[in-house]
Amino acid sequence: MSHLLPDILFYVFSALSVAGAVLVLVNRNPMTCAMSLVVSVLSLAILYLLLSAHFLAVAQMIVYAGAIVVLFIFVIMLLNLTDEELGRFRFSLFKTIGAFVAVATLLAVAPDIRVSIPAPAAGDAGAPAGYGSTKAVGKLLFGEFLLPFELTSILILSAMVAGVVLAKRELQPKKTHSLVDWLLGFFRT
Amino acid sequence: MISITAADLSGISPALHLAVAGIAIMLLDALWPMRSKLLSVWITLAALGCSLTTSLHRLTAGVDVTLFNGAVRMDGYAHAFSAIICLASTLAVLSAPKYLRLRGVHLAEYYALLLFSVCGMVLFAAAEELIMLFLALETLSIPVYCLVGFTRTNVYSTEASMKYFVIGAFATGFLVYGIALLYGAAGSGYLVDLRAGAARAPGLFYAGMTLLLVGFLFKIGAVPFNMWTPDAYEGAPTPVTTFMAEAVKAAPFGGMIKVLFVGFGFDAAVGLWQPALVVIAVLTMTVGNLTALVQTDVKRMMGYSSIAHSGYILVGILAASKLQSADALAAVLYYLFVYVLMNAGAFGILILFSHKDKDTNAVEDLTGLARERPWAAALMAVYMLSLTGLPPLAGFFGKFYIFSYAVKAGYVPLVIIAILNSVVSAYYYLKVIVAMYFRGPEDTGRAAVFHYEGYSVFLLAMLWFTAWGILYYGIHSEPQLALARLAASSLFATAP
Amino acid sequence: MITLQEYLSVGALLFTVGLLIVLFRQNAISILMGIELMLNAANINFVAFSNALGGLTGQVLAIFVVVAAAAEAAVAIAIIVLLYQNLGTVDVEKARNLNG
Repeated sequence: MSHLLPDILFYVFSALSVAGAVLVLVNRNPMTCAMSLVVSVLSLAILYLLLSAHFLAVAQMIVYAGAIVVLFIFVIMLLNLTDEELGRFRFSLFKTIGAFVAVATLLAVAPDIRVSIPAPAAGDAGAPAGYGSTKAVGKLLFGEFLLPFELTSILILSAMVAGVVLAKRELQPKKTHSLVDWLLGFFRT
Repeated sequence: MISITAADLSGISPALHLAVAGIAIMLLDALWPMRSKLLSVWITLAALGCSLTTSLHRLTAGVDVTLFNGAVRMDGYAHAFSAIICLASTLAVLSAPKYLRLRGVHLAEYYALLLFSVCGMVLFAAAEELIMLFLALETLSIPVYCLVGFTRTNVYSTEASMKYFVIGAFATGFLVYGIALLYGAAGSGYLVDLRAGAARAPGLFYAGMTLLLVGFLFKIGAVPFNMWTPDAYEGAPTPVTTFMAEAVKAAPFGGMIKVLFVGFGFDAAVGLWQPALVVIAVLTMTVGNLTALVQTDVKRMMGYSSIAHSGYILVGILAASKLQSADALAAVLYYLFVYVLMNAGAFGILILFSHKDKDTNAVEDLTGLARERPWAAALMAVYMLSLTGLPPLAGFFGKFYIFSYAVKAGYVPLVIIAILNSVVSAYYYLKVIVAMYFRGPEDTGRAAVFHYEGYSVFLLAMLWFTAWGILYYGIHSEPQLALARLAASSLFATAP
Repeated sequence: MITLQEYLSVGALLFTVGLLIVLFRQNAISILMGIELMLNAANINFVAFSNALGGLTGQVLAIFVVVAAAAEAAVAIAIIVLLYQNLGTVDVEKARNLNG
């Protein structure tokens, strides 16, 4: 029975994750949408655990449920948006054709994707000790992927600056003395 | 374990200058807000100048190093793109200060964000690995979303920002999904390893390739992925439009050409993407030009014209891949260089006459310009004629080289369509010249008054430099082409 | 037995749903949620491949995607707030000043 557990967990949580996504698509209430998104991303975190990606699973919970969706909910409440404003769908011929082509391509390609790669080890049984742990991931992150890692610091910094500039920047600096003015004052007097 | 060598840091110094300067501007603005604006302009120009000269120097010296465990490779190709992008960004920065001051949004953050974006662009053309490519693309895009919406109280600017974000993020979604499939097929993200993936798991590989290319085509604004590009061009503050039309336009080609030639450069994949790109190139040229015909707003018209130019560049890429010749790819790089000059100049004139509260954007607004401001009108005429592709100007030689290599590669119908498109494009470029030279206030019924409200020394330098470049580098294209050939041959050295 | 195929199917389904959300929902917040779902779809593929190939590279790539998604969301939220301040709506179809 216990060897069936990963299979059951997979089916339950993948179904939940897709169901959450579909709810985001069809639901009119923005708050329900946000909550469905949480369900979807948290179910994905469970799938990551099944694939023994422990660190990533935790990161997924913290970043998505803890940060991104909270931001969404914050904005929904801040702007006090009404259901009817958010519930609208738009259909245009161009978009419908686009969606049809995209979905048809995905379906057509799906049977072609015969993967000649061995199946993943379900659960921890097949994985070597420490696989997916913070230590192992960290070693790779600071070794082989050092430059991409450093680049993310620029990425996050620019996102932060961008957010502040757009949402909250005062256009004129206050006429208060800054540190440099204060230091220059010693030379003036 | 953690190992950054001095060679690594000096190798990516073109990108490093920019990132450090961006951070320095942020610090300066925090410590000394009253004086930081003009200083940050100078810091930005200095950093871009450093990167430009470093790149050019290393390009001529033939530096070719693979850095950070193979994540990036600074070869002639990367240095050439770095030089083009730094030049384009310098021109965009020169056009910004006065315009932003007129709008009351002259903030140091503008320059910091622009530098971060350029840093991403430089690394984008140098990336040898898919995730590096993705992160560089994000780093170059995210600041631009903000720059588009930089005039915060302006409705158009905000709307453009929203639309540009949706398109950009949508493209990212495709790109990342494509990268995931390619990684699964090849078992590695390195471009040179992708070839193995096509043999191991062809279904995955070709699905991934398609999605990745869709992502790229979104970024270069190719039809049918061009929905909101002209909206973003029209709504953004004009200096930002300048930046988008040249640097943000040229950079995705840097990554795309590398992925196509190094990652997907083997016969089986080429057989798939070449015919697809032929169709897309035809659509892009034709739709871009035909839609530009009916536009009355110069910025919007330039948006569609930039879509059309993407089509011409795709023709050049196709020719280079068919011929497998560095010369043909050099023509593409030369075209990008010329394209940067022409676009910067045309937007510069619009900035020159922009008012405090309103842009001078409509074709009608330029009516009678030649009588009142003959020099400005002459410059604008040079840019427009060069964009059309008239003989002694650089724009002609750019198109001429691309089309002649395309003919050599056997794409004769494609070249005929491209030339017909160029003829069509003459109509809307000449419409601007006709308005400036052959019509007066009596035709529009309202007095047009031209003040140099957007004038600044920076902008003047930019306008004269671009005009000189278009006149000079058209006839004296050989040194530029030689540099481009050097760059292109270093890419072909790695391609399978 | 769960194979790679099943995980890839979940990814493909999520990607499709995300795509449909971006195409057919009108308000900016929902569109943003759709984009997040598309990125998550790529992530499940990364992790599944990582497991199947026996390396950790895929997981590291997924972490980078999470970081980029967070950065994108931060900027997007700022743009949405700005859009609401200026236009009084978050409906991208209603924002039609630029006749797109």
